[in-house]
Amino acid sequence: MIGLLLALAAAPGDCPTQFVDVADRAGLVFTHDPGKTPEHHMAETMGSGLAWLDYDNDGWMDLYVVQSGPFPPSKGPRAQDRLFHNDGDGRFTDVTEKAGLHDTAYGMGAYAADYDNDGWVDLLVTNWGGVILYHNEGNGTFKDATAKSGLAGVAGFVTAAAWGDVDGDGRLDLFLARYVDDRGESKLFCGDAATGQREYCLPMMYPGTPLLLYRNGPDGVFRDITRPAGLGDASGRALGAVFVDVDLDGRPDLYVANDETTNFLFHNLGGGRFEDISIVSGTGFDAQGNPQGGMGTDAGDLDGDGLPDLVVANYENETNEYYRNLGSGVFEDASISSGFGRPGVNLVGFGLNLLDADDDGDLDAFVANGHTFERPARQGITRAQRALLLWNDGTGRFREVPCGPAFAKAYVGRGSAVADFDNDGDPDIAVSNSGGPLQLLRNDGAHGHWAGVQLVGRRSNRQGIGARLVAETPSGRKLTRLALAGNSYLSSSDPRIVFGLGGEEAIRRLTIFWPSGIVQTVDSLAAGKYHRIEETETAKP
Amino acid sequence: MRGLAALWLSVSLASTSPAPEDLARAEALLSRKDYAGAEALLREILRAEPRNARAHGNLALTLMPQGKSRVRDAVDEGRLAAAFAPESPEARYIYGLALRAAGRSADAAREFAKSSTLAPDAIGPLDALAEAYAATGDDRAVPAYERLIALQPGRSRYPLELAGYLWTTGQTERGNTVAAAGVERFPNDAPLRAAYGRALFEQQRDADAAAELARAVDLGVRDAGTLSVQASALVQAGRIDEARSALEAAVREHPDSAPLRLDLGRLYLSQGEGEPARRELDRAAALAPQDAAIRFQLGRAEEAVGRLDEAEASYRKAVELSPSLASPRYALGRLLVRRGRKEEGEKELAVYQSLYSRAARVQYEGSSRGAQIQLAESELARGDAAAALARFEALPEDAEILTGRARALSRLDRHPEAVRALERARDLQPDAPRIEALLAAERARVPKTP
Repeated sequence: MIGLLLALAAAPGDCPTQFVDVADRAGLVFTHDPGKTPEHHMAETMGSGLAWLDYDNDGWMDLYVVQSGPFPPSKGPRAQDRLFHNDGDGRFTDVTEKAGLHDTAYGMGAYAADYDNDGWVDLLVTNWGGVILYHNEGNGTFKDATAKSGLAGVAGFVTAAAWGDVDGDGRLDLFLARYVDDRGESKLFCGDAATGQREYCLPMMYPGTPLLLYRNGPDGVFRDITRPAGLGDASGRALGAVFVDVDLDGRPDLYVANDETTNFLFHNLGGGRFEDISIVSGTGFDAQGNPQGGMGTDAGDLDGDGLPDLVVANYENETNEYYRNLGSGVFEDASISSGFGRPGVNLVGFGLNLLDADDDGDLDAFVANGHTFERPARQGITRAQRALLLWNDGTGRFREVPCGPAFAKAYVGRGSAVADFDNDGDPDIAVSNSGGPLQLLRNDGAHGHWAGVQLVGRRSNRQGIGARLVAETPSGRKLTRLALAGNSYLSSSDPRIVFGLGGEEAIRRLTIFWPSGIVQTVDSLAAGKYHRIEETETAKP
Repeated sequence: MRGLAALWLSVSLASTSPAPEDLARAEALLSRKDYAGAEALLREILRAEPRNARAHGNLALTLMPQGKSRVRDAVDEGRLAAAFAPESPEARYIYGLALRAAGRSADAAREFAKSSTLAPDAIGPLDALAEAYAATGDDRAVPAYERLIALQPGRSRYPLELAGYLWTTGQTERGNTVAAAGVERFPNDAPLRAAYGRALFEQQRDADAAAELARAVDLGVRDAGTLSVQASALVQAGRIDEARSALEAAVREHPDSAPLRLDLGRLYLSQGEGEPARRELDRAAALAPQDAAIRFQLGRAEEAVGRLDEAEASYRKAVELSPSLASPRYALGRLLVRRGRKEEGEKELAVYQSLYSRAARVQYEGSSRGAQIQLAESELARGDAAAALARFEALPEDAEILTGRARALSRLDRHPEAVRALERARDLQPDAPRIEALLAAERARVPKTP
């Protein structure tokens, strides 16, 4: 059987690299508990996310994993999230207790960011029913700062979040997405009424919910600016979100993936105000104007033109979407023509990460898949589904090749997050599986040269979240990367930027477009290491 | 009708008619479809012998084909036939036929049942009974069809109809079992295989559907509709190359089928093959110039290959042909924006947005309501009629909700209220045989006042 499974993966010769699940040997022992009930609550289908963060500033990315647990939430140990400390030797240690983390709500996502610019990364956990904001005390422990920060009143089915400095004041503001309004769920029955056998209901049977945007004030209190920001009329069934400056005007725009509802693209007008350009931008629907089952989302320059493109993982019978940025806030649907969309048609996509898996200088894509139904109706479609690895040929055209044994086995994939956990310069992937074990897909094998960057903001937020980095290689090739906090499905990734350089051995010039507006250039970055770059104090003319 | 008359004639009915020759002549006229002549003769016989059941029955058969205005008279004649010969299966059968023609399915089923009881091996009444039960969603259709299958084991029609009934009433697996047994018994019955294949496709059993439809096609089912479903099943099963081959062959076989060319063009488009898609859809548009969906897909193909002027024209044509179709509006608006005509594009997109918003609201309301009804149904199914009734009563009233309320009330022995609910349901949906059947059954349950 093992031989058969291995045979399903592509031969090593077809693959620039191989991914191997090393969670067990790394000590990442965690099994997600969806808290299945006979009533089949929608929340049980969600799975959970995870966040990479270096909470103790030791240079190694640690991992926070969200647990769901019994439903309705009972605040017991079954629902305890976990923080795993990266020991730097390929192993992790569970430090949840030691770190003072006691989230036993029915968990959804995790989003790490240094919201108070104190140099210690903090952590937001989204839950069914609200959020918890953990402040990093800088001594290996966290303190619940939810009430103090004004977020205790957040209610509802909170799913995705994203951090971004929407008003350019140097502090990270917070977007919160909510899924459906499930308060009337007890009035619904889905499944076979004659036998009483239930199945999960579809999202369109529930009302949508309003979005939430909070401004991070100088007093450390987050205030709801949803309505004055122009987001008050938008009601979605949101599962994915990313702050990304799509039109390169220096302000982070907001993209939200919605389930069976139009996706939202809010253009940041400055001054904390947004305009809805979802439809006119072409990012709200598929090419035929149909809403899709949007789950995870990410942003990155897929075709090397310097413009951030958008991608969305979608439900079964739909392509995963690749919205190619044409500039000026206009996109074209390149899902079919690029080969990005088709491999996902018979899968239910959730986690979606853009990553340069082989360090050749272009962004590839990882998709975690898994059905929401216990018994999917369509013949041949299973609940557990294998993940996808889509290889970019450098021009934004993709080919799916499952590289490594990690792609041979099927799971009910949900959140996924990327980090270079072993600091070897290639991206590894953590995957949270609904009702299944946590996976750590280590990137093994030959790959190109690389150079990493850790941003340290001064006028900008401390981590440089929202920065755009353009690396020019000795051959003149330009690589654009984005510093994000919150992407994929219910997850956040390593904030450091890694440039895959292929055969080239250095970055000739790195230009950083900081969220503050400062444009900073750094010459001659050597390959094979991470470079800590502090924001200069003044803008370069 | 010829078959029905033959049944009447074939069974010996104790007749005391003084004019058997006249009756035979009338029946001959009836079998020749000389309805006016038959009617005149039968009325003459009945003037002489008003209680002649055979004459009343034949008169009913004569009136039924003469248009809607005569159906009421046919019912009256059928009733008289049954009244004067209550133990005659033929009289009951004919009365049932008249009732069915009058749209009184439940009453018709009652008469067919009586006829079938009196003549258990007669095919006609049993056939009509099974059909009547099936039309009203009455599960007694199942034993009726099973008996027909036992009586006529060489006919594939009955397994097909039984499977069809089971599929439409949500008894999917039972339907599949019947259909599978049918195709095993009649392996070369193309319509049966085609129907089974279509049902499997509806059930999202795409690989099984593709296999069954392939057998049907091999057996000679070559209509464009079946070929289209076969290709769709292959697409859904992820067998794109086979779907492409099947559709290309289908188009060769039906070169004038615009729907098949549309299917093929869409398949090419889904695979990123813009130029073949454009060619195919161009031909489809020539065959069906008024088809908005084809124009829209043609526009997509033209856009995919960079023929933007033509794409714009195709989208505009699609919008003109079907102004309420959302997708062409979206595509046109998006294309205009991409071409730098933002203001013009935004106007189209605004129309699209209003169409989309409306459709989304309808979808939410419809699906949410459906799940609420299902909850009440599940409570009814597990015997908690009071809970089901409360659920139905909380939902906005329409024929479906009223029917649900009535079923719950009936379980609670509140039959007069159930009758009233069903009467309101019938007022809202006058031509629903199922409501008629439930109403008839419910009325029968109302206790008689002394």
